Amino acid sequence: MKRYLLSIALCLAALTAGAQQTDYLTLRMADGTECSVPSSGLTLTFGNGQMTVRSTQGTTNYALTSLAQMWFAATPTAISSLSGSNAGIRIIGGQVVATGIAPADIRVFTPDGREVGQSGLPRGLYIVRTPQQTYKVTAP
Amino acid sequence: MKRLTRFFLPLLLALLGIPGLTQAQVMYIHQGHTAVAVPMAEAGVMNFAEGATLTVMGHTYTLDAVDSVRIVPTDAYTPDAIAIRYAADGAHVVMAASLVDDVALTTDGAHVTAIAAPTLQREVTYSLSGASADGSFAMDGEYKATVVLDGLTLTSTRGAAIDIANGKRIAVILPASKATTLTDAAGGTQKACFFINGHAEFSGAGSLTLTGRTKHAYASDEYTLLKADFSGSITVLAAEGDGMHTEQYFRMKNGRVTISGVKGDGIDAPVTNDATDVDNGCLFVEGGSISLQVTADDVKGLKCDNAMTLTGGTIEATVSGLGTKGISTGTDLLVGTGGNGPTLRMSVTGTTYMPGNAELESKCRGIKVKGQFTFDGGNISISATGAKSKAISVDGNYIYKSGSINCAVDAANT
Repeated sequence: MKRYLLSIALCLAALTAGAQQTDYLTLRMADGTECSVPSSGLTLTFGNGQMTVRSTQGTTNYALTSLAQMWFAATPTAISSLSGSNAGIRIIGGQVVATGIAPADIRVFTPDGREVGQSGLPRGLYIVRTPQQTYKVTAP
Repeated sequence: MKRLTRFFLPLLLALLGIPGLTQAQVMYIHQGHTAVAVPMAEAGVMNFAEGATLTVMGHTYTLDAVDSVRIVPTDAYTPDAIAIRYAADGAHVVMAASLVDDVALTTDGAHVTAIAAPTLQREVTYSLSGASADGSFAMDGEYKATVVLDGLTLTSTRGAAIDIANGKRIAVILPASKATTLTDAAGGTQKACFFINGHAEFSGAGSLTLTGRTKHAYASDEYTLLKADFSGSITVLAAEGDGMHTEQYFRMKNGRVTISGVKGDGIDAPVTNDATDVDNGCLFVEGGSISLQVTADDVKGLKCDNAMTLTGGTIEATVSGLGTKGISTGTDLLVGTGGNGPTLRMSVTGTTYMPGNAELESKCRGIKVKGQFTFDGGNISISATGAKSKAISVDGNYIYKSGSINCAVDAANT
C-alpha cells in the first residue's frame, strides 16, 4: 500500500514540476537585461515598431529593436516583474544606474545570494532589488 | 494487487486529465483568421531579429503579419492537428506548430485548402466544425489522414463541399451527438458533394446529411467502409446522380444509411480501372441498416458490377420507379451464410420503363441477379405489385440452403 501511494505521489510531483516550467515568460533585451512576467493570460501584440505586453501586472511597451529573445521559465525566485519602463535599472561601466530610484533603496546581489556594492561590478549577472521589484541585470 | 491497480490506475489517469497538471499549455500565434498553436513546454528560446521577425520552433514569423501572441495555459496541445471552424466571417483555423512548415494552408473567406507536402509522412487530423453558407474544404497529401466532421453545416457555391484529393486511407470520424450537413454547388463539375479520392473508413456515432446538387451526394474513387464502430448515420436527401458512388467496393459493417430523392442509384459500387483491385465491383452488407426510396426511373437501390454479399443487417427498399431494381448485381448474389443472414424487405410497385423499346425496355424487380443467387440464412420479404414486375429474377441458378422467403424466385435453374 505504501509503495503505491509513494509511486502516485512521485508521479504527481513530476507532473506538477513539469507544468510549472512555463509559468513565466522571460524577455531578454539586446542590452542583456531581462525581465519576466506571469504567462497565464498573457497577450503580446505588435505594431508601430512596438511589442505591447499585457499581463496580470499591467501593460508595458517594448521597442521591437530592443528585443533579443524570449522563453518560458519556471523560476519561482529571483523573478523580476515588469516595471513601468525597462530602462529603469542598468549596469553601465560596472555602475548600477537606476532612473527614479534612490541609491539607498537599491541592493545588489550575485546569483548565489552574496550582497555586493553598486559600483565596480565585473561582467556578469546580478540581482538588483528595489523596494517595489527585483530585476535580473547583466553587467556587460 | 489487482484491486489496488484497479483503484489507483483510474485515479492517476483522472489526475492526468486535470488542466495544467500535464505539460500541455499552448501559446497561439495569430495571423488573421489563422493561429499556430505552439506547445509552451517545447517552445524553447524564441529569437527576435532586427525588430522584424520572431523565430519559434524553427519557423520564422514576420511580426508585421502577426496580430497577437496569446497564452492559454489551460488549453491542450495536439500535435499534427488542424482545426477549422467555419463562421459567418470566414474560416478560423488553428494549426499545430508541428505542421506549419509541412502543410500549405490557404483561406479565401470560408473556402479552405490544405495541401500537405509529399515529404510529410505523418498522419494529420483535420477537424471541421461551425457553419457557412458559402464555404468548402479541400485537402491533398501523400499520407493517410483523418477528417473529423465535428458538427459542420457547409454549403458550397463553388463546387464540392468537401473535396479530398488525397489518394490514401482517409478515416472519417463522426463524433457522437454531432450532426454534419453538406450541400454542394449546382451546375458544377465536381463528382460529388463529399468526394474522397482514396479509400474512406467511417467511424463514430454522429450523423452526416448530404445533398448532391451536381452529381453524386457522396463518392469515393476507392473503397468505402462503414466500420463496426460506426454507429452513426449517413442520410442522402437528394442527388442528381447516386446517393453513394463508391468505386472498388462498398462494405457496411454497422450504422444506418438512408437514401432518398436521388436521380441515380442508391448505393453503386462499380469496378475501378485497375483489375488488380481487391473485391473490385463488389458490395457487402454485414450489419447495420439501409433504407432506400428508389423513385427515379431505371435505377437501382443497391447496385454493383460484380458480386453482392449480404450477411447481416436490415435492408428496406420502396421501389416505385419505372423499370427500377431494389437490388441489382453484375454477377452473383449471396444472402446469408451458415443459416444466419440479413432481413430484406421490399415493396415493389413500379412498372415497365420504356415498354416496347427493344434497347431500353426495363421491367421492375425487387432483386435482379445476373449470375447465381445463393440463399443461406435470413429473411426475405418482397411484395411486387407493379405490372409485369417480379420480386426476384435470376439469370443463373437459384440455390436455396436456409432462411425464410415469402416470394417467388424466377431463375434459370432452381
